[in-house]
Amino acid sequence: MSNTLKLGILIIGLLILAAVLVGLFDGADPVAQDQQAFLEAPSADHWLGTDRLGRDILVRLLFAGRTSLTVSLTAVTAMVLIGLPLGLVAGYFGGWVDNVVSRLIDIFLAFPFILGAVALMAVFGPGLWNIFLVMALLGWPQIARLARAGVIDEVTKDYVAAVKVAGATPWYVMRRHVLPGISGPVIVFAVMGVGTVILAEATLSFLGFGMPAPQPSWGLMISDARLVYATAPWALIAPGVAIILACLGFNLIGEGLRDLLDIHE
Amino acid sequence: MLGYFWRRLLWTMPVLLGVTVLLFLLLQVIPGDPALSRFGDRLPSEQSLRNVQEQLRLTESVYTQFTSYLGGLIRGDLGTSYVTGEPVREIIARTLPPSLRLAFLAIVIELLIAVPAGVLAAIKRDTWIDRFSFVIAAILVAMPVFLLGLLFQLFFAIRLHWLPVGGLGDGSFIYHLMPAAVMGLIAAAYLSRVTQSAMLEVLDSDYVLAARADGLPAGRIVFHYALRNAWPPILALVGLHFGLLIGSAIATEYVFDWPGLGHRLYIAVGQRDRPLIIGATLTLSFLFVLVNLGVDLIQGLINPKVRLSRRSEIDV
Amino acid sequence: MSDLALKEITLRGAGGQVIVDQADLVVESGESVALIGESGAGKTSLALAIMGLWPGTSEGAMLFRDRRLDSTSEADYRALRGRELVYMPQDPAAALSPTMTVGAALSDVLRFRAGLNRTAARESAISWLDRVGLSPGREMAGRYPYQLSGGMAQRVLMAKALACEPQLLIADEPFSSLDPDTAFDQIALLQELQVEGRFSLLLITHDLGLARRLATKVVVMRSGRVVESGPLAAVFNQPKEQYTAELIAAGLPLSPGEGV
Repeated sequence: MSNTLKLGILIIGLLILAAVLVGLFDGADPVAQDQQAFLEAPSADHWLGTDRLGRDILVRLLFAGRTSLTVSLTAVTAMVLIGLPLGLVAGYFGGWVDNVVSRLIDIFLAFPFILGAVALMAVFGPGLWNIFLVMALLGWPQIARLARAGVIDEVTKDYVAAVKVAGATPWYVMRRHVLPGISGPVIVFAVMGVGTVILAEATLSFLGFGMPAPQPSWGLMISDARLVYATAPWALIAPGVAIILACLGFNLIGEGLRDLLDIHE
Repeated sequence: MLGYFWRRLLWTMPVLLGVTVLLFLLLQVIPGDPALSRFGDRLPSEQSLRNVQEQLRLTESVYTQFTSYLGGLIRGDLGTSYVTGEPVREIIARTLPPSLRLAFLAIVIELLIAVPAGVLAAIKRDTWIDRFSFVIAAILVAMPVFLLGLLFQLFFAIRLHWLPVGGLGDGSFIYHLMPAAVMGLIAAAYLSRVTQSAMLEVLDSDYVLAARADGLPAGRIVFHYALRNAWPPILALVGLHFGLLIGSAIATEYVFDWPGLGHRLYIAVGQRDRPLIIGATLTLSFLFVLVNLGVDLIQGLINPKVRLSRRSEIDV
Repeated sequence: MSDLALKEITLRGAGGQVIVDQADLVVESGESVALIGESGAGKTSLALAIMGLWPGTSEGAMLFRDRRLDSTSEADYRALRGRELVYMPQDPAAALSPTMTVGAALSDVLRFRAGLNRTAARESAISWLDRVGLSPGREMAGRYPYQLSGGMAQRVLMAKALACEPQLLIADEPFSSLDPDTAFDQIALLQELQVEGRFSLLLITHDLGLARRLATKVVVMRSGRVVESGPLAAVFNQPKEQYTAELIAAGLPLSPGEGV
């Protein structure tokens, strides 16, 4: 296992641990305001300081981590659950099925990701569930394209063709020959995709289209901090570092896995 | 080659039609009555609301609305903004140029940073230069563009007073610099990695070995033999990055209060101004598709094999 | 004076594994020596080491005329390469940069090695193309590698190799990708140019027919070691080593009527 992979797992492991543990503390409330402490610099009481409404930044940070991890992990799972079967079916059967799926992929990939997300959030409105929906809706074509290409690659190999001729069912061929061949690239892509969704959620929330205030979200925290960043830069830096670490962690795991599984793009 | 170009261009038509249908249908679901947005905070009378609804053609069926929208699209008419009543085409014509200037400058900055950095990291493989550029790139890739924008603003404008905080100002270069640098830097982080791996592959080739055996100067080998053959993947990514730039333009223009199409789209989404959202998204998607087409064309110019093999078979 | 003398050269790869083990090799001035052996025997590695392009480590003494190659700095090496010491790589199609015209590739060598200016290099490149049988050179100069057949690419490599009047030419598996007829013409061309240019030749090949036509001396390598060397006729007619005998028995003649 490479250092890249270890470091990535360490970062994400700690992040998940912290996000889980913070819920066990009675006093930890992401929206509780300390009327005595507005915009305080980091101190013993508030390790990362407080924001302009007197809320503890560390607590908000960790609860926001829950939001971010929940939405990104579930959205990527949904992308795989939609994209993988569609890609497999399109690549395996070809013909009109492939035509329909491929054209759909082309259409979805014609909008840049964030642009599509912003436009769609106008329809769905802010909220965790809606972010999840939009991410899943816009993210599946990438997975589908990857899976489709992988299937075509595998199915055209002689031994797979031989198995097909021998009367193996599509399900058998997929399970025994196709899935093992493409699972590596799909896993790597999905792990990297988690980082992308984390960034996208932060961007949407920052713009005010993602998580509604006063819910904890890194993007929202930065949007809040924007009003006061000249005097209280810590309010900006803390959530910023959190986003970078989370995204970096998944990217490192993705790259580590790519080397480990020896996948070439 | 030109035939190929036209075929590709023609193929983008159904894709863009699909994008239009998709956007149109999805945005039908926008909650609330768009006609109300005309009245701001006032509550209109029954009659005046009805008038606006008819004026905006909201009383017709979705199908009729769509066909008349398509009809307008063919004539270059993108409808009118629900909120301001201004033709969407005019809004786009006004806000797109500042966005494009920013995007263009960002790409220039991206190339100026990423290509030298990637080449250097490839030549100095496994040295501290390679590791340093790896760490910087990894952090930038994980950084949301608006965060880098805010940090730049805080540092270069508020603390050091070197650059304006935001806005178009008098439209001079100095106002473009910070937002373009922010977008360019983040894109450069991806590109430098791709440049490095493309260079490593090419440096390993027979013709680079041959050039070294020919005793050519190191600089000549790196730039004329290696880099020249590493351009195709680099350019392909620059094309894809145009999509990334469009996405990051929304947040960047918002942070820097830049009067571009990205910022205008942000406002339109807040106001649920459907014709403007569709028009802006369609325009940007069209540009995205077009840029990728352009990149294909440039690839052909750089790689003679792509260019000529489509023109005719060459005798051997 | 010998042009090239290798004494107990040992080459190790990046992982420390021995690729070439204590190889000796001498090329006298004006002489043609064939270095034969199956692929993987370490022939190309030895050639790269002579050119100072071996990526791993090397031990032993390497003499080019009166110059110690093993202690030559990279900067001095660069002045030797492509001028006095020339390497003609195998696989001509891969050895030419796909994005450079033939004329540009050839001019580069002439500009940077022979010190010609841009226009003179261009003209000289064209005349060299004509000389190696790629005519009209003016038109051929504008072609890209993918527009050339294997034989044409080989001719370009030959022009590149000889354009700067080498002292020693190391030809790595030349003509191996060509059909016999084309190869026949090219060998004749190389012979003709060698008579003109009076360079010595180290021919790396597993084609014994080719060795027979071009070389007067043979060095046989097997898995990194030199197993036998001597005058061509002696080695081919009375091989001392079992391996050499097998190699000769297995070797196909270059063209009909030229059998061993």
